[in-house]
Amino acid sequence: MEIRTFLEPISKERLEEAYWIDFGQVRIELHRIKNESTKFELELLDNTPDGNKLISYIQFYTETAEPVLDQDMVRWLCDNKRCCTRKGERSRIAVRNGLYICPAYQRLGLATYVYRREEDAFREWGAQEVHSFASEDGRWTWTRPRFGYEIDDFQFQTLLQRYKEWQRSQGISPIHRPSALSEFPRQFLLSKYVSSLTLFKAL
Amino acid sequence: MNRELRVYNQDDGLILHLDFIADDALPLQIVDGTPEMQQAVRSLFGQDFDQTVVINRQTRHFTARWGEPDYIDALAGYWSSNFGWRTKIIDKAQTWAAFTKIPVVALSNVITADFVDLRASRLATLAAETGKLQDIPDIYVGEIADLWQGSILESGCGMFAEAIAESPTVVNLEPLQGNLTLELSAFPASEPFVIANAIENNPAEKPSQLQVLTAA
Repeated sequence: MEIRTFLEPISKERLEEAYWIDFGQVRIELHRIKNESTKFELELLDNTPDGNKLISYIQFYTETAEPVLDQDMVRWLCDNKRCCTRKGERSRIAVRNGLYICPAYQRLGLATYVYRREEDAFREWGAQEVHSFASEDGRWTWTRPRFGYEIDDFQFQTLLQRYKEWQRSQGISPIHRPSALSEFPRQFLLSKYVSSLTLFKAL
Repeated sequence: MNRELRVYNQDDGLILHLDFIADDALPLQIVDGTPEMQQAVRSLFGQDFDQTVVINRQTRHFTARWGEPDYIDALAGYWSSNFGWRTKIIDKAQTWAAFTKIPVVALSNVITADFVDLRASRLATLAAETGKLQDIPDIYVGEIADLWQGSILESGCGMFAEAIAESPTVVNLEPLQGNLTLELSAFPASEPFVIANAIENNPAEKPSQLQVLTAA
């Protein structure tokens, strides 16, 4: 299958456009990014467990060729991946494989900006959901309600079990039992008790 | 091949014990576990497994198709990678020798949410091995809707109920006032169900009692 066919009804250019910085919408500290230097490479894999899979590798550079991300941002577009919002179904799904921003460019709103723009492109492609692997600080940041992500019941129940163990290790009594992802405390989510979470939301 | 998975927390406490029964309608069966871990497993029933763990910015994917033996490996890998739990997988060869008895308890005639899934062939095999079921009347199986509509399975077809939950611990199988009831491992309400009822010498008639079977 050709990349052009896989991406229909959008184009490669439309997908790439998601990673161009509109300097009128970001903080001035990010104006050092040079759009013309942005790396945007694609690789199409056929017949994976998630159907056909388009992998995007993205990196931002400043005007002095300094990378903005610690490593390439990797994104998947899968045309037959298991849905999280509709059990038993498979569909077009977008997957975020991490976003690790260099310390000098953290806390400037870059992730929020990029996420919003790429979600528009994912939606136009026909993705029903976006899945995101939350690790490091993302275990806390992206689980805040304002971002709209959830975890499936399997993870939630497993997390309840782990949280119960964490509370015991902390000498906490009585044991608190959250009823929602957002109720797990920061100290727990960022502890060694949890390596990562797979978040999802409908597009 | 049947398999077994045990999961232990950091205090070496057993938090989950699963059996994987190959070629079973419900291949993943909960033997024991904390309420949270049991519910976690129940949420997977019928679903392919697809989870990812990120450690030191490296992603590890754990995927398996529902009903495949490597489902156990995917579960174990996910839990040990993400939470550091110790897991133990045992591959078991299935034998018939252990099934000399079956737990039998008649609970009530009220339909509850607990049903067990029964299949036809094994009871006949058990009868042959134990010699205890020679006089047992035919047992008919079917979904509740079928029974209520009177469309019981063909009379005289001689279908026998078969325990899906093949626990190595077994019990006496005894007729109870002409009706035979089987107590099998309990399954949650979300599981496919059948109702088994023994109808003595009158297979064409609709059963007067629907007996709910749950585990001891």
